[in-house]
Amino acid sequence: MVDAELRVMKPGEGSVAFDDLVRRHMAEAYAFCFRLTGRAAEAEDLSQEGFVAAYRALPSFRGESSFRSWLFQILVNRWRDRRRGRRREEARLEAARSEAERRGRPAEGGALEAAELGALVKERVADLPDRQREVLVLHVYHELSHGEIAVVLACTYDDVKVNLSLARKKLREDLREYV
Amino acid sequence: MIACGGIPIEEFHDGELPAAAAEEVRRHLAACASCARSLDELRRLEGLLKAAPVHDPPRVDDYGARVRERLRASGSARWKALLPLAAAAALAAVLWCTLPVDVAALVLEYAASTSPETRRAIETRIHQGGAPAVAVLEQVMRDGAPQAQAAAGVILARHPDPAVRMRLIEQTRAESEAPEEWELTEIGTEPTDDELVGCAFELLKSPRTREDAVRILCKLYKGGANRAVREAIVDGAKELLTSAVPRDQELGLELVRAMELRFLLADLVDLLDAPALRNQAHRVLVEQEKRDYGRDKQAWRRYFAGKRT
Repeated sequence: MVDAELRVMKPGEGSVAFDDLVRRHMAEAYAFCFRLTGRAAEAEDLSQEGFVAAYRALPSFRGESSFRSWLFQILVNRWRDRRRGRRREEARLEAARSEAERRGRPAEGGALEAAELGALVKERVADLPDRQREVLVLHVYHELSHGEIAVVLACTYDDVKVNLSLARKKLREDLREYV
Repeated sequence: MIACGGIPIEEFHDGELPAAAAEEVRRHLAACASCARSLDELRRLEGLLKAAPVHDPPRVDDYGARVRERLRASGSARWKALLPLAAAAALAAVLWCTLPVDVAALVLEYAASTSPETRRAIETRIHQGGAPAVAVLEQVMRDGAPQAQAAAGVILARHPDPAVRMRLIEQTRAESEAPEEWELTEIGTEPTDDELVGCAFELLKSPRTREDAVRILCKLYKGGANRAVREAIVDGAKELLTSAVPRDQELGLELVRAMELRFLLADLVDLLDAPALRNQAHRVLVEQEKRDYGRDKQAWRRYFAGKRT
């Protein structure tokens, strides 16, 4: 769990280039944000905001735990702040828009091209309740254990287990024709 | 064979089961077509999810440049008020190239320490760091966690260079804050302390940081942290104690002893026949309860049952 690059952050052991941390973690941070937000532009914005926040908060980071987990924590918190900050009206409009898009799509019973199936999966993941989506994304796409997810999301091990199970149940139902 | 309802297929799939339990599930799966199908379905769902592509990530150079730009933009306005423009630019470049984390870490150590000698030693080390160390202190004071901000303020206020002290005074005046009134807050008194619990349990896993983690958890638990924080700590300790992994049990035991979690003592009875931990568990029970039923689990259970009623 200890990031090699952060060992050098301990007192008396020198320093590390932040640039290097960005380079090492940007792809994963971006992918994580993309799966949370479902939008490329917002993923880039959110992940960059996360790096800036991580830089600002570095003095309060003791450096012994994983930078990766810590960055996930920051990104989830920023993402939740944004969700909270977004006006209800906007959220309603967005829901209506995605519903309209769904209706406009070809019937789901037919054989879908890989790209279409990918888009459908992405959409179904995006439809999950926030906590379920966060747990699922961290587990499936970033391969964090239940315990690690509990740390990132500041919840209990059982919360992780239950939410992951609920997410899978919902996705199995939504995607039953393809599973 | 276990009934299908009790088979933790998802935990098995996720690799979360201890070896013995996983083996039991494996045996069940070999004999139960229905559960094997469920596992297969789970694997197919995982494959389907993983196949969904992520939008191509941005180019590394562009991305890094944009992060740098945002970093400068978010900090520049206030720096300009403090320093001549050229010095600010040079400082920003220094800060960007390498993070002087030694100073930042020392500030944290300062905030956590209650020993005047340690604090003086840290102050001296930081003051010897010259202008780069001052730059970090000023940055921590502006953007760090509350404890770190307060500590950085104190260290700056005691800096031997009058120009540094003057700058601090100007800055705090500008922000309507009184430099004389810095107060250090101990771990366990901030509303945001719950964020530390997860980190502390994480640190507990490594022998290198275990001692620190126990100290942080003790401080949080005994130092007036709010109820949710204390509950999270107790839950964590209980989870370790009741885990099937001896190393976790040992950590749980250490927490119970260090934090004197008396209401978890009954859970220690189960460890009285654990080969590696029975002596320790017995010692903690005797120490905390001031009585000795040896390793007689039944006797201890009767005793704790009696206490509950």
